[in-house]
Amino acid sequence: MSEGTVATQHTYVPLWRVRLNLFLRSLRTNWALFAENPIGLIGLGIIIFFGLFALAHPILMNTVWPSKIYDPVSGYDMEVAFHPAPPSPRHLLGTDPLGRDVLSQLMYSTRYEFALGILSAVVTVVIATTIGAVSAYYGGIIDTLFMRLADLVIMVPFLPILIVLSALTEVGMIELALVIGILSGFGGTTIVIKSQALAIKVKPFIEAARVSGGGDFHIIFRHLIPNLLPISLLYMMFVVTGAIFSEAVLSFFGLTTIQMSWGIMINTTQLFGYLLRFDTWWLLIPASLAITTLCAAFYLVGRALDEVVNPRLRRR
Amino acid sequence: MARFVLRRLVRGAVALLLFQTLIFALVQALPYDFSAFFIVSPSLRAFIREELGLDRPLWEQYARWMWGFVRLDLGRSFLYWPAPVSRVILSRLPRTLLLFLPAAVLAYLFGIWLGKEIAWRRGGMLEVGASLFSVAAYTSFAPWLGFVLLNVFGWYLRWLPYQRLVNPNVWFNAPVTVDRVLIGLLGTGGGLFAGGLGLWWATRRITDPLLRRAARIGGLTALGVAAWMGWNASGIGPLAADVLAHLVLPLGTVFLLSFGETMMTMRAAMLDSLREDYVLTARAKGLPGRVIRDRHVARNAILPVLARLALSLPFVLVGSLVVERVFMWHAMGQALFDAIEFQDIPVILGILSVVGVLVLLAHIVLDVLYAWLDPRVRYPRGE
Repeated sequence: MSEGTVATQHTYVPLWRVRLNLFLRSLRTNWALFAENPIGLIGLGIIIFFGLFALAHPILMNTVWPSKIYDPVSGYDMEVAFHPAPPSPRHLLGTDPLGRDVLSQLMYSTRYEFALGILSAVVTVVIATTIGAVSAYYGGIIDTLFMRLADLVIMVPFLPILIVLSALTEVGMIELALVIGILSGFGGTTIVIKSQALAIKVKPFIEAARVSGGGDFHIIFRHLIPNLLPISLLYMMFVVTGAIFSEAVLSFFGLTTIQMSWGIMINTTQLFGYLLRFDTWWLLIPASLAITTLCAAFYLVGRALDEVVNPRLRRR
Repeated sequence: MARFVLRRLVRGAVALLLFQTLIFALVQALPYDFSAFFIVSPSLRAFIREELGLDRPLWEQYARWMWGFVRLDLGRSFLYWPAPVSRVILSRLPRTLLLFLPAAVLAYLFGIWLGKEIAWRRGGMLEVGASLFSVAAYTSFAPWLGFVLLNVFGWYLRWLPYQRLVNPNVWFNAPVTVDRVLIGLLGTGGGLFAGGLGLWWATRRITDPLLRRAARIGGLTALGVAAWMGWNASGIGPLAADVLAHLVLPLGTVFLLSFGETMMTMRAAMLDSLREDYVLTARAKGLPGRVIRDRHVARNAILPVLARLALSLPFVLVGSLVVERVFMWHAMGQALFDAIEFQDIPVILGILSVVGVLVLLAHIVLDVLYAWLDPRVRYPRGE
């Protein structure tokens, strides 16, 4: 028995590799659970489609679409006699009343919708998870304070607040994302996440961490919050839906200073009086359908994730 | 129990005070004031500001408003000067309630029923189809949904009138105001709903299922006929019919927009309570599937869904600005939007605080109900 064989028996595996393997294994199991549900797969498919849709726009602009004609904000097609023009090989979804290509606008806006949705979801989740974990962990006055604040925030109807804010300042994409994120972060999402955190707080591994000398900060951020992340991810999906929807409604009423988005496209349609006309369907339907399908996709993925996160909802 | 209720009431009062302060601060942050909408000389503008009380220091305006609110006086509207805010709100109330209350109730009933069905028959095409349809309806962009419905049923099929509250030709020389008819319709609807509930309650002890069903259907028909006869005898039946015809499309839109969420919630709650041991027991006892579904699973699953209904009902009052715009059904949402646009501060504060009070009441009633049903809630841990 030489030294060499012993060494091979106890090969040193770095910690990160162990973690990576564990992560990949849980990812595989969760994916199998997620894939069981056709609804979630449909949602994911739609999101991927829109992702590719957004990516295709800069490529098209740099290759086949001359920017003078196809620029989503400032383009104008001189060779078409009357705008809005119906769909043609030149403009696959027609042009809007200002002579801009509808398909180009639709694709250009997609990335901003994604950015808005994801930014407000991240803001919400960071706020809600931190507050939920902290107030569940400490309880007492901190808990009371944040929960009463949440009660207060959910008393306010959402849209009027956004309308007041838009009268107050210029509301662009980033401001809108922050406001939506903060309002839903301090409101309903916190309450749900806190109740989940309460259930995790009494689990034995938290006690074990405390016994082995873990501080409050360590327990909250290394034990409590990682276990809250699945449910946070679930609520992210619903926030994305709400954010895209709010942007569309606000832009529809012309209350934002966003240059181009799906809501702005519908607003333009309304401003030029084409809103309720069926003969100019390409002005309204592509943008509305895009809003609906993307919102529905995130919502469906959220619902499917619900079944992954919550074992009681799974099929036996 | 009394201590519990008292504590909730005190907590509610504190929350209300904070809420009032919050919305007051928010409204004060608006950039200019009502007088800026008049193109008049500075002295006249100063007079307007003085008349409306806008020249006073902020703390005095705040104290005045709070004192008025405590005495249930919401002040006077700037835009409809000198009408009190309460009258502005009350004048919009019938049309808001007539559109959004039935839509909310119908959406909840349908959502609960459909959620129950698809959770029970899990994994079929029905589940995928119903989920996709309801989520697509739920996430539809309201103007677009309204547009589709208007075009299909109003323009293309010409089944229903579109836009506006009423048809002016029918209402020419009408003996009553629109609001009077709306209130009458609301009363009829409420009466029918209460009558239906009473009928369900009265016949629930009839054991023979055939007889029970016959009694329920017969009773509902009698109620419907009675309402029909009443409106016919009143002489304003055609006017009411006109309002109802205009109501169908917006009501359908709000219904489609809102039932999906209830359905998904009910489905999740059903799946959750399907796992309980008493369901297994019920199956072991050999109870028929329908009884297990309705009496054991749905009974328990419905509680969180009804709690959501109670919490969302106050927001019915604000309505949906988008639907009101598309169908030109000018109700509370439009009033709030106008008030914000013209800096009609008392009306903004009035509507928001009425909604706030109702939300708070719903919370307190729910808390007390839960505490009454479940004693564990009454005593917080460690007390």
